[in-house]
Amino acid sequence: MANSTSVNSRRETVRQPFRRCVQVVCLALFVYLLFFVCWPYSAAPSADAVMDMPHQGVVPAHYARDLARKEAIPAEVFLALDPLVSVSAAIAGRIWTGALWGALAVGVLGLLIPRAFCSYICPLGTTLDMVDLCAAKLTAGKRLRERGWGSVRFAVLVAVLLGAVFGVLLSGFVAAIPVVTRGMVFILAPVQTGLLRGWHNVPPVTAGVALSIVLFLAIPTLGLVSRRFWCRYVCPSGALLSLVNLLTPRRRRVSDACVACGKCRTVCSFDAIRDDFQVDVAACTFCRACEDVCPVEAIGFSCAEFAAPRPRQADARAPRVWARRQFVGAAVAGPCSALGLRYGLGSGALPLVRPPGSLPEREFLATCVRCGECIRACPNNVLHPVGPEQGLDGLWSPRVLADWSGCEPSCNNCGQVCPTGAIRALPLTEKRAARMGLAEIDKAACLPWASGSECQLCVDECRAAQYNAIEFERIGVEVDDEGFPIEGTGVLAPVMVPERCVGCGLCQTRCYRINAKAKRLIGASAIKIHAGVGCEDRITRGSYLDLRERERRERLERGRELEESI
Amino acid sequence: MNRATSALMSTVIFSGAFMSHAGPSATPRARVERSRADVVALIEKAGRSEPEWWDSVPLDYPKTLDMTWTPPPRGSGWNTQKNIGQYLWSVINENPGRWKQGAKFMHHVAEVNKDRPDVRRQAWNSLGHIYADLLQDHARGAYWWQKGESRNMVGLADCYWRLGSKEMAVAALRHVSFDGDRYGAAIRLWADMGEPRRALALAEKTAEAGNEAPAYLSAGNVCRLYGKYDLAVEYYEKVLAVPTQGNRDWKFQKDLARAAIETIRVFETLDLAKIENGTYEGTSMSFAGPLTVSVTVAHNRIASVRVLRHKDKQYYSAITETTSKIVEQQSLRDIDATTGATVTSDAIVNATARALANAR
Repeated sequence: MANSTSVNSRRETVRQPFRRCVQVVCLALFVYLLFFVCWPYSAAPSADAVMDMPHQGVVPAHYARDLARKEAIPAEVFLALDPLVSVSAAIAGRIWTGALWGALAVGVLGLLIPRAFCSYICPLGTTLDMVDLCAAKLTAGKRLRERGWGSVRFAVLVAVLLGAVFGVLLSGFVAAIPVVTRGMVFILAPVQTGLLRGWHNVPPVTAGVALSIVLFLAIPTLGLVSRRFWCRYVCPSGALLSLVNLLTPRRRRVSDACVACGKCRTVCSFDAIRDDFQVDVAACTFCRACEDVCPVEAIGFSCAEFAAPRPRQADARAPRVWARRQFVGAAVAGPCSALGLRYGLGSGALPLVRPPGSLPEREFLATCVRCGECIRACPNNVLHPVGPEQGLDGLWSPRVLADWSGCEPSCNNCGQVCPTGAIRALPLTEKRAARMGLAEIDKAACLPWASGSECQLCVDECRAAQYNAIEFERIGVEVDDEGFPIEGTGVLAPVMVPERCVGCGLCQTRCYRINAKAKRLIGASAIKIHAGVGCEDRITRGSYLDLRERERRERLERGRELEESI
Repeated sequence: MNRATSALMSTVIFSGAFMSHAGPSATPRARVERSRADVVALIEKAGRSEPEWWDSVPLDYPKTLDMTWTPPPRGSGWNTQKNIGQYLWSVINENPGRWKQGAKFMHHVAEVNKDRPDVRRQAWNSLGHIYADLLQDHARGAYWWQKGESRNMVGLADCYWRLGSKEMAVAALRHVSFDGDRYGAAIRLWADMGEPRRALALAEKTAEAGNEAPAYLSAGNVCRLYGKYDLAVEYYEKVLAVPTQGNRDWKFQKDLARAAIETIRVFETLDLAKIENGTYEGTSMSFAGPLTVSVTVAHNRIASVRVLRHKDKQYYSAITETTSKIVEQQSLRDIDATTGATVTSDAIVNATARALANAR
């Protein structure tokens, strides 16, 4: 068995041109979508890239237009195809998400070619195949001999689904595509930014990012233990597709011609061939590598019986799919971790500023798969992953860090690329009306208020973005003997107009970057975005523009009542 | 600002005098001649009707305001959330987005105080200021100033002139024998109406009465407007010669005068043929602080003039108009005559001149 290894591995690569081509194309597409389509810096302001915004006039729309132009294929398509992403998000969030169509498509594909997703489409699988090719000598034929390892992934799946039933989304930590997307976003995207836009534009590596990178790198490292370790033993997305396998009559068949040479077992990346050379239905991905290496052409993939199954050994043990102990463990672990995240380990610290158009916090956490796609598509890295210090319930979910950068007014990318609708795919007009927080001025720190010195950075920034949510008040005015103000005395100080503020944080960025960081006049930004009750409005459905219009009518009505009150 | 007259007027009207000078610089004067009767009818009709934006602007003001508009006791400090005059000065005046709301609020103040004639009159005069100086609605501005029996003759004259009646404007402006405005609003208006002699006469009178620096600066601007550069320089030099009086050092006026002299000198010697291709920067004083332009010269032509930095807020259109006129006419001299010597556009011309002077 051992001496034929290298030959077989090499033959495998040569003799599966179609599968290898599809894999390479899918991986290339995945990389293209993540590093080209989601690369926001191809947008530039232009006279054409504008739109009409109610009560704000003509506003730029270049970031939104740029993504729409490049998105012939939705940037989040692979995430939508990972069946566990949409299924678990829909259950946990009790919502319908468009990505369910992707799951359905992959499910139907799975009926035709069982687990085709794993052996053809999944970019994580392809990446691991590449690692396995490099490490072929080390890993050939290795597998974990202990009984039951193959059903760990089912236990993970059960935990994820039970967690979802309890309203907590765990799939983001373990499902294939969120894992690989996050890995690329945290490892490769900063390199792209650094090389193309300068390293000063790369956000520092936080504990949360480091944790994600370590966990991601562990996946190919486990590949040294056995090929496709992750896919064989951990991946719950694959486990979900394995359930589809049980429904389809198409499967691997072995004929009487089998000479029990064992080559098929050696070549199988998924440990899907039992000791009797029959298929472990749930594990088989229809890669057909065994068919290729069989010296006697005893292996076929079809609906009909290729030949009568002929057990080589009396292997009467129950299918390994449902190892009872693990199932029970999962049934306990899923709800426990779900409830733990929800009520125990969640920090309950200050409410975080979420991307514009995010669902209300509970639904948001229940539907956000922590894939990092929004973080990738966000110009100037306004969105940062939440670290473990904020509590585990929000780990790797996106938050606005306005000290780093404010939300670009011509951009709605985060919602467009969110696979589950945790951030709603709002049109730009809606996004500009969606309130993610409210700015608050700290008068004890603000330069004009605290020291009477001139500064209007925040006002200028807000005006340039056409929100006009910060006004002036002339303070420190001197009066003459008759009590009249003396022309030219006093300074202009900023004042919030909360009804116009959407919490984009551009003001905070300016104040922090210039007054705090560059000039060191103050310790922190004197204007900060706050989220939470009364500061944000996050609605599951319906229009933010309508909400603003309703508020406007209410103000008019209150004014009329005031007029009539005399 | 002149204390003697200010005592009679509300605080708001004063900022009006300040702004009525600066406002026109933004809008090119496409003026329609109208008869006295027409203008009177126009004012009456506008004043008695609601502006078209009336229903779309909510009445909204801090509930902490003292609606009786009682003058604050001496030394009580500045509280914009309590005193109506101070609220107007600090909040409404400073935010263009609040001007319409300010008008609505003032109507409300007049209504609330309908049994207190003094306060009501004060509210009407404030309406005159908000409509004329801020919203550039001169018919309504004139209506409320008339109704409030305002003594702001310069403001009224400016409204009449813009509405089309020089006759009414002259009649109102005749009452002004002293220009107390920091920027010489009355002197400037005479010059605008094609009466440079009367403008200079008022300037001389004002200077004699003690307000020398602003008067001479305005006189210089009048001369510059009419192309009399030698005389203009003479007046500007008079500004520089004014001695410091008490705590008034006339620095602002002197800076403007110095910049104007420099610009006129550059006019005389400017030869674009001698300036190499390149981009040059120049800075000059404007209303609220320094204004910087970047001038690009290519093939002996001024290819572009861009205002890089400035602190003036409400009169942005001077910034695009003046710069595009300089490029259009390839000269600073003609700009001076067409755009008029208002503070912002002056500052642009002056800064451009400095940039080109630096280039040589």
